[in-house]
Amino acid sequence: MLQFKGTFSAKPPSALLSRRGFVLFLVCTLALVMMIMIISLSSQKSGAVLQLTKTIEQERAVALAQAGVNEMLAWVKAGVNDKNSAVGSSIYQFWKTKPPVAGSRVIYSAEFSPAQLKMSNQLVDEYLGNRGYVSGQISLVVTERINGARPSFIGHIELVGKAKYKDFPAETKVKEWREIKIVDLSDPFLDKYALFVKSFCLSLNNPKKRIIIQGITPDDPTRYSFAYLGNRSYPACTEFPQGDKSANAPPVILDLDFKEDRNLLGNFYRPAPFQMANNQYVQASTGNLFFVNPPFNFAGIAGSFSLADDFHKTPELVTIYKSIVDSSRPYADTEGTLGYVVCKDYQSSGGNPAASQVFRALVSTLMQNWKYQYGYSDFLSITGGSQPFANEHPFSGIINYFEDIKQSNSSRTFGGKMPLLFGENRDTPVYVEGPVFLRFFKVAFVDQVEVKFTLNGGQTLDVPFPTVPMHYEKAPETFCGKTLSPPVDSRTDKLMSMPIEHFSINNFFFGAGTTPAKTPTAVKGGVEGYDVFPTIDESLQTVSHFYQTAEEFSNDRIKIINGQKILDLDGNMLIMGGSAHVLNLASVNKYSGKGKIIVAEGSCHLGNLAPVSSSKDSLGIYLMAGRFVLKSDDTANIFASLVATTCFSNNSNTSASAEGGIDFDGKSANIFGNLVVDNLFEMVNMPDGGHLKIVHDPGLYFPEYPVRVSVGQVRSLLAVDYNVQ
Amino acid sequence: MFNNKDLQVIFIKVALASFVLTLLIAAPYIAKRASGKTGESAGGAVERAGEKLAVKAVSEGADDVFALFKTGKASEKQVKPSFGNLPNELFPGNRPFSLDFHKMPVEYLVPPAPEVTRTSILRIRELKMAELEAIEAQQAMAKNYDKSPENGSIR
Repeated sequence: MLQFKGTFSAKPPSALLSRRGFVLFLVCTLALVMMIMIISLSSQKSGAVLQLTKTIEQERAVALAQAGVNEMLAWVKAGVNDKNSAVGSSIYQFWKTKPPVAGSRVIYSAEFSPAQLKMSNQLVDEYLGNRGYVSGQISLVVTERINGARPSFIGHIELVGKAKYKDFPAETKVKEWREIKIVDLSDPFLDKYALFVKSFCLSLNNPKKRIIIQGITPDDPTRYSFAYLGNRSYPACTEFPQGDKSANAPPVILDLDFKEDRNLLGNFYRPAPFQMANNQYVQASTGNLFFVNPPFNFAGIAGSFSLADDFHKTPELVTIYKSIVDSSRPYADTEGTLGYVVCKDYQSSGGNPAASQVFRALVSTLMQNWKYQYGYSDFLSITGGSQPFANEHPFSGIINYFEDIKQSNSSRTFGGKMPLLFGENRDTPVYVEGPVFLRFFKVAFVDQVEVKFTLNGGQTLDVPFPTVPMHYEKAPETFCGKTLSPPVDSRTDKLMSMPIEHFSINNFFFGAGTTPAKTPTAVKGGVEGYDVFPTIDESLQTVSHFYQTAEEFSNDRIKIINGQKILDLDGNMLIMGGSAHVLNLASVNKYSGKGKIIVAEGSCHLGNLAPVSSSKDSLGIYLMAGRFVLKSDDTANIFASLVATTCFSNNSNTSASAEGGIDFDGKSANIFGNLVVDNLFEMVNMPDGGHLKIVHDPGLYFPEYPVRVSVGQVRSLLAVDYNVQ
Repeated sequence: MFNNKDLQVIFIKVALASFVLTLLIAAPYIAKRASGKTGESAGGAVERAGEKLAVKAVSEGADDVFALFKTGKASEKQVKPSFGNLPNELFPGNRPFSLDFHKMPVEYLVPPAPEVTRTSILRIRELKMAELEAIEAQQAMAKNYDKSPENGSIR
């Protein structure tokens, strides 16, 4: 053992050399074993590995084809609303022809080469090197036409992405459908109105709250804006016991302000004072009349009157007569005197001027000497100021009118200045529908005269007789209210002072004899104003986006670009909302795209709202049961078509609390578009000195291309074809 | 074995050589990736391009839309107020006048019937109800999943 130990420890190197090759042998053995294992594993698992590899490759191809689809989708979305693009132009041409659609109709198709799908093929390069490419094709298919005033179309866009490996024969295809809606957003019937108000507004003439309409100004005399001012909910009164449902339609009266509206009067605007004996009255009439007829000899119309019946109820004449009788009483017993004759006549007539020969002689004499005068004035001249012009006795004949209407129809006592329907320059034609009449006033009198009486003994006496105002008479009672035959002139068949309120407001621009169109559809169909509503597709197929609440809408459609909130419009967007829901757009100042926001229930707060591009963008907001509330800091400038009108079971009979309208909330408003409301609510929340200015958008009235093409946000079909052999 | 200094040196040398070799082999690929990223930011997607235009328009303040409020002069070719020329004709009678003078296509003159609006309102209500019922059903189902195991949850 020791030896062995000694041997081991003291073995010479030659002994070790005899055991060389041991490690090599071990390594080779292990390598051999591993090789055998690999070969056997490979042969056993090669099918699964191949399968796995293929699957990975296919999924990669699907992903790349999907990238192609997405790139084409982006291209479509960018182009469908641009009629200068290939796809947009096809849609525009299709829309222009408005063809019927039976079955499916391809209106656009295109192939996309790998060179056109740069982004997708960049991905291919990244994932596969140069081993494949992506191509594609799209088809735009219209499947249905939705009829309306102007048709809309729905269909789908088919996108096919193809991915192919260069060294592999199979082509992987991904097919995707997206719903497409070609929606005509115009509403030709309502878009022609700059302003449409269904319910009666007492404050239309309020001089402190002005409505200004600027109609369209095309180079075409047959094109003009429209306005409708209805009389729904007209208050019941003696004159109209059933309000707007009375046998005669209650009028919407608009008061002329001849100073501001003089452009409308043309040659009829000839302001002058009356020619009167008393200079005080001349001064009083100065600046209060826009047309004065020169003094007219009463004798020329004397034949129209009966001395016995037509004068004895005129208080001024009775007063004159009584003063003559009173001044004659001292001579009642002195035969041969004029006083005696007068008193005898007085006794024989029983004090009744109608039976008095002296009264008749007096009237006959006056008729030979009277000069009849009249002129035209307006509401503010007659009633306004600290010392109204009509308070002067000669011009007080018109006061009876105001006393009468106070009893019979207090609505007529409200007056002032008519809205500026024809623009601030009063030069733009606007056709006004509804029972709308112009009002101004005729002020008439016979001036004071001095009648020369010849006394016994040949002496003459000039007896002055005062001015007699021509009193308004609702029913003819005296010569003032009696119809003349022949008339004084073509304008004057009655002498009395009176309101001139039988002219249609359309006489200004649309000629003589224009009768007011009671309903906005007097031309066709005869639909009442309160039964007019915006065009809506009752199938709701043309709605591109549905939202349960206003918040959902805001979250989806208000984008922040460059730090600014932009309302992103895309076709018809329906918010179902609720009575307490508010669509708050007060903080959004810009919008982009074309669209109509329809709020089924709820109000809408608005501040300043303008398009990013006035030529490309348009906005309509239709509140089906709600009101617009202005929430701007100052005057609200809104570029949109605003509609707030509620459809009731019986639209002729409504409750104001449920009506749609606009709440000014202490602001004025400038609207570039149009405004359609149930009620203006007397503009109660508009400040004094405030205004509602509506500039009718010609692009709304005669739109060139009022179409928004919306591409569905979700796939309506997705199919993958692996083309596996 | 790891205390062997020679072996450590060999190990470090092999690691460095492997890294350099890998870097050399991967260099073309890395260069390609880098250039690819640059290309992506330069090319941009179609949607991004659209967005850029919107951003540009917004930042430039778009058009001066407020000038539209200032337009207010009628065209020379439009109808002029003619009241002044016609006072004598206007007063007597106000004779009947044909309203069929608007020279417009028929679509401008025929409004939709109010029944269309009523049907739409009905359909919207149905839609709203259906959606609310769907939400309720969804919430009810969610409650089932939330039940604790001892109450017989399927979770």
